[in-house]
Amino acid sequence: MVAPFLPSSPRCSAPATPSSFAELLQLVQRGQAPAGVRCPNASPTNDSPTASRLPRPPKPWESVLPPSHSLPGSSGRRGALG
Amino acid sequence: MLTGAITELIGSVAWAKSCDIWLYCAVLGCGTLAVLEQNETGIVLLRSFDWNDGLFDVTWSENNEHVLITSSGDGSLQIWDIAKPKGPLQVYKEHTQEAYSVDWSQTRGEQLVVSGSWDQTAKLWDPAVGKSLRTFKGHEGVIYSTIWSPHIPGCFASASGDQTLRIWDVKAPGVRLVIPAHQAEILSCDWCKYDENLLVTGAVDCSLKGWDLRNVRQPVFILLGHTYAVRRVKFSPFHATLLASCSYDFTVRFWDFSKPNPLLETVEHHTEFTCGLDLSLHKCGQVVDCAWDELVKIYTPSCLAAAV
Repeated sequence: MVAPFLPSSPRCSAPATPSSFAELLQLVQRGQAPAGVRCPNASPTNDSPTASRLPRPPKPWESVLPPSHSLPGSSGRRGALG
Repeated sequence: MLTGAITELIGSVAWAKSCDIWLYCAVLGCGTLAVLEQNETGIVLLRSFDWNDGLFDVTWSENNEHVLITSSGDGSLQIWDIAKPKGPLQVYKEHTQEAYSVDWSQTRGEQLVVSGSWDQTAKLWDPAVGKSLRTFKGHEGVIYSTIWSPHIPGCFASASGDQTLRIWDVKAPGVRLVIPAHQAEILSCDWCKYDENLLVTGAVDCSLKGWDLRNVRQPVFILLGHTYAVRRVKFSPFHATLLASCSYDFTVRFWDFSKPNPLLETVEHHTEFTCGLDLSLHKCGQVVDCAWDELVKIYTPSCLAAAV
């Protein structure tokens, strides 16, 4: 099943879509927005995250290996990091 | 196989980690974060967020099924809540160039995030704190990937355009280990989930190499087959010796480094650079990938369905 997820319509009004890279370059140099350029102006809301309702599921490897490890050599033995 | 189309270039994709009820994945276009849900009818768009600059990487929270973080071309990180569509909760701007990589730690007992940037630094964050906790300097080229160890708390690896893989410990001021892993830029790295000393790197030289931290003088394996740069590498969450890679050669490949012929399967279902890849933590063998052909694909390759 294939479906488009995101609309491709431009958010900023602009003249026709530039037909060549040279034309696109001219638009940018003149400070004009080419068609298809979006200006979301997103900014943080400083809201708190929605409270979690689910317990953290275990990772597939957590039932196999014992926890609590360290880098080789960090216990004082000479190793790769000694 | 499920296929969805995003009408713009896709940079990265990631399965949700902290919930196994809904199968979410997040996909990045040029400035858009799309959260997709897989249900009985196929892949549907749950939520779409826009940012002011391109988005390069995404990581899901470990302790909250609503939360994810993206890293952006303007150097900032954004914290998003999929239940709050108005905009990012927070924006953390410190990197002075593109923030190319972001990862949320999977070891229990800590909520740490690491970001890697083209400004050649990695930064450590607590998502609840507005400023970075530490900045890690040392790389002499852009950082492409920063990935937490799944076993060693506070330990992460970074892959760089300076051709080294570096290992860092958040408790120590400087780098712990520098591995000159390739003679080309290294675009990706990942940790083995079943051997805490083993990592893999993927590089512009088209190869994947395995590294044992106890002896980094030579790689423990070299995987050849890709014909262009390797963009992302991932060890399987369910198999000790299986891994996956995607490449600018348009393919995704699956490998078992314990076998004499390690290439298990080559998947050629994209028509452009394949740049996003993730393996589900909840459904064994399930893979999501994405490419510049604007397609996201969810599937279980036969080699992972067969492996138990």
